[in-house]
Amino acid sequence: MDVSDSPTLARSRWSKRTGRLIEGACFLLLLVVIGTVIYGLMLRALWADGYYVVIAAAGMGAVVMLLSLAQQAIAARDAATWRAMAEWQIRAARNRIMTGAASASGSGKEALDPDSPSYYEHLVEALLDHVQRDEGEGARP
Amino acid sequence: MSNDPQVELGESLPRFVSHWIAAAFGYLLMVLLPLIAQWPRIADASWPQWWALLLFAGVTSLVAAVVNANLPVTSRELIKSVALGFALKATIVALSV
Repeated sequence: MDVSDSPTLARSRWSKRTGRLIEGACFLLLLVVIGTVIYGLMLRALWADGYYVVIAAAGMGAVVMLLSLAQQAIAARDAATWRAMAEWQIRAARNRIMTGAASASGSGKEALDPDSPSYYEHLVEALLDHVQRDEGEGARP
Repeated sequence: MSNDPQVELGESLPRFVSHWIAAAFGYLLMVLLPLIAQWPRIADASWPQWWALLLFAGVTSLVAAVVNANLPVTSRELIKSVALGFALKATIVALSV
């Protein structure tokens, strides 16, 4: 199941594709603005030599801004990857306790209600179980 | 809880600097567009000194940077800073003429 399909996990109502399109259009607009400003400064520099300093400052500013944009985009992608991993773990634990509950109800015990507090106890238990098993596998060479 | 998107906004120095630079670009765009539109028939050549232009662009953009410092650094948000810098300069022009 894709993460964006779940209404509780994804807050955005626009699709990811639309978001990417808008993001791309805004990036192009940003480049056009930077280009226009530097072009205008170069026109002005034909009269006043001091404007070459402003051109240098604008160029440096553009580089700093674009680097920061790229750095933040990479950081956001890393965070999204961590988030997806955590969501995958939670989904796996949820599936496991639901199948466990189904087999338990088949053998006569009561089924787990997802709204009950004991459901979350089971969920945390399953998650901890996952973590401990992962650590055990990691410790083994 | 953290499901509220309002609480996820936070100020940081990279955000502040990025939005400051973006707003300065918006300011410079408002200054330079008349020049580009008139080119090559420049009517009046009375222009500020380069240092005055940089100084006023920087100081005016500080307002926009303080307001926008809690936005993430994406191109969508940077465009908003550009627009705010442009609007601030347009306000100054409209008031002083």
